[in-house]
Amino acid sequence: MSLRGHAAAAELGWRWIGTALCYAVFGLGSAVLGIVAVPLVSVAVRDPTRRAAHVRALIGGAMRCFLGLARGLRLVDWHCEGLHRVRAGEAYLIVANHPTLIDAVFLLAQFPQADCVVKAGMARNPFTRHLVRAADYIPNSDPVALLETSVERLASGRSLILFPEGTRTAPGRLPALKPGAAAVAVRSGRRCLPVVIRCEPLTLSKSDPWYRIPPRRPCFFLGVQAPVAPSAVLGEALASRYAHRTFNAWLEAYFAARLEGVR
Amino acid sequence: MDAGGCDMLERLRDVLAERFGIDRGAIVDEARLYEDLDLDSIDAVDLIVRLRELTGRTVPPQAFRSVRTVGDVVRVLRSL
Repeated sequence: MSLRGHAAAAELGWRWIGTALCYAVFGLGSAVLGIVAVPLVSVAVRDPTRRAAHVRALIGGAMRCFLGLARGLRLVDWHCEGLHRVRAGEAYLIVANHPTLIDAVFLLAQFPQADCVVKAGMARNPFTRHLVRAADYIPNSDPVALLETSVERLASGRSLILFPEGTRTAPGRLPALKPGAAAVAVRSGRRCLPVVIRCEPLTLSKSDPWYRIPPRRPCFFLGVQAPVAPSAVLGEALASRYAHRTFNAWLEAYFAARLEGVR
Repeated sequence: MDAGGCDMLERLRDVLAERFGIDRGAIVDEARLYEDLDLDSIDAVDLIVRLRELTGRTVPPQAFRSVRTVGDVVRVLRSL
């Protein structure tokens, strides 16, 4: 094997070890948050709204530390652009495509005070249940409650993160959006903040087992786009029975136009 | 179908006609919600909310999971 071949193999081996370490740190960190930090905050701060704000700040900080570790170990790199478009104090419906397992980590690091939807299993799991409840995240237990709660949270002035695909993108395809996020956008009247996420080379996708290491260090690009008001897109059709379908089709084309060619 | 079933069908017709502008004549037992009446998953959520208000009973979304036709909805409503 050539010298370059040896160096490449060593780099790959290092990323394998580093990745396993990151999984361990993530699991351990979640346990420390859930079992130690969150109960402490819950005791110290009795008011549920203030408690949720503290817990979310903690989670956001933990996500930034985790990403800092992964970058420090040279496992991933990332670039985020367009944050200047976010106006402090405005509640947005943050909608992102979902290529990888860790998209939510980036979004929570960037928008720690936003609401997010968690799997119903996480809201029941004894390790994560307290965390989910203290942070006041929205459990995805029933579609009726999910739609109503999402609109209410936005109305109360908090931003909400949604992945309109509902699951990770099928690799090699453009995102197929379910109409739920579009319905929330249309009904809340809040502006959408689209975030276009790309990962090159793609890793941690729906078809990648967690231990498969990409051939070179992946780089994430998070593009925060200009906010879009559904009323500006739909005009009079906002009042139509089909408003959510029309806006969903528009949003799907919006993401497709920005992801075409990078599949 | 007994009187209760007919009544439910009538009420369902009212909801579908008012809320979604569907022609009452198209709302028959065999009509499929998604394909024939052009509803989608969001419309189904709205329908459940409206039926809750109308019947005063909780309509669990799980009960609607296997629902395909207008007749299925009537059956679910009657079983509550």
